[in-house]
Amino acid sequence: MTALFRYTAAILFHSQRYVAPVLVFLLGAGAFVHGDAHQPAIPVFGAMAGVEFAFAIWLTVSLVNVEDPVQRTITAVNTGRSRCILVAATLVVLACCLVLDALVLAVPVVFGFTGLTGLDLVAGGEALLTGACAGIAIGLLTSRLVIRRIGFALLAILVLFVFFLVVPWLPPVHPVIFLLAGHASATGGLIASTSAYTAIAVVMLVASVLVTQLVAARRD
Amino acid sequence: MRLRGVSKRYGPRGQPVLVDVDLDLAPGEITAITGGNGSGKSTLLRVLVGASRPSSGTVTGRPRQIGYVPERFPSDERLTARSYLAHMGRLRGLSTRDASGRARDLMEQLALAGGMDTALRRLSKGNLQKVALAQALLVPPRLLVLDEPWSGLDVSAHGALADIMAEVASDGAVVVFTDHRGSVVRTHASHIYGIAEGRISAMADAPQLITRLVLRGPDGDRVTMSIASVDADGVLLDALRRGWSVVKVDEPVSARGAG
Repeated sequence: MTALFRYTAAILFHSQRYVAPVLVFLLGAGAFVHGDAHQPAIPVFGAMAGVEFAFAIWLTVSLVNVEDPVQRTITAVNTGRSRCILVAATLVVLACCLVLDALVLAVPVVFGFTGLTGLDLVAGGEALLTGACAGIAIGLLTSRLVIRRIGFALLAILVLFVFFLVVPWLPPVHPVIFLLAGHASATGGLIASTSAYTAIAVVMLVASVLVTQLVAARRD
Repeated sequence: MRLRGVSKRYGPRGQPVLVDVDLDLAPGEITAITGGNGSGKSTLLRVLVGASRPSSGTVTGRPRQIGYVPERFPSDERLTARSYLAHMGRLRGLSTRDASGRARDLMEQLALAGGMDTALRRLSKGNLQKVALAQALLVPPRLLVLDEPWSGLDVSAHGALADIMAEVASDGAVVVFTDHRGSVVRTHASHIYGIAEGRISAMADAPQLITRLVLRGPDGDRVTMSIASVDADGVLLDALRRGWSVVKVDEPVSARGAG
């Protein structure tokens, strides 16, 4: 799996398809995270979870679509396990998300936000992870492995993105953003709620990997 | 390796691509699948390597170490040939050093040593084909599957590929390749199957007499090639046009023994 992770990361790096989503993420971070040390950190983390959601969708679709189907077959034959390819892509995107999450969490610490606690960082980390996992899940389901035609895929991405971001009763992205927006500092109850949404996002991600793998295998 | 009743169709209402294919592949043999465009050759090879599941039927005895050379090697990769082969070697469990060393040896054998640091997207079709061959041979395969492997190769690589296939087969591996040109198939295969509209049939092995020629190039390079007819697919004519000359002609031998 390490070799496959390295290969997948190399494909992403050389293709430079990470540049646009990273720029969008940084623009979002610039809009929501700034050096005002008097702003509460928790709502900022909530907003950034939404940005992370968009970033993860974009990067996942870019990465999965960049590999030529023939090369995917060669990679599968060489690894001997085709499902590992999808898992490696998921792990590469997740690693990229975690690096950016670390940056977002570091800003309030570096600028010394007033009243920032360890619990705030935990809640923020969980919210960002929720956005990442949900985004990767949507990205996989709208990648070329599932939706071959780029127009339909783009439409599906837009609909699902808006749906998950806007519909109040649909977990995990919208609820976690608005949950954090309503708090100035983290409490035990908030942590429990964000943990639940993170768990939902992780389940979404695992289900998405399985469904995508199933659909791709049937297509072959 | 054994295929029994293998059928394949894409989608529940799709046309069948393979129909009730029975095939036995023994170690040490070079088997050719020949047929026209869209006859099901490539799909059969994808089933053999496990990249495509049959809709019905069974495939048994598939080894773990498989080398696969597709008909169309992806040409938009930005990795260099060296980096690509190192990654593929690591995927097969080699260390970075072993993968790089093996890749270097193979590329020298296939005469692409100078292109190792060129991005794959900048390589010619023939050189891409050499990279495709090299990635399939990084670890000695027990099953080597090649889809139209001579496509785009120059005259010196033709001979090298034939030698590699014979060497892999002599090590006890199963070698299967496709080609739509009868002369190529008869020259290099010990068993020949024809495929049309997804149905496979054993063809007469046709141990046609072939002739080995030794050619000398303008810069002194020597290449051995086998021809089954006046000119095997234009390769000989092409070589002669480019200044190569025939320096030796062996007595005709059976295609089976020629490798």
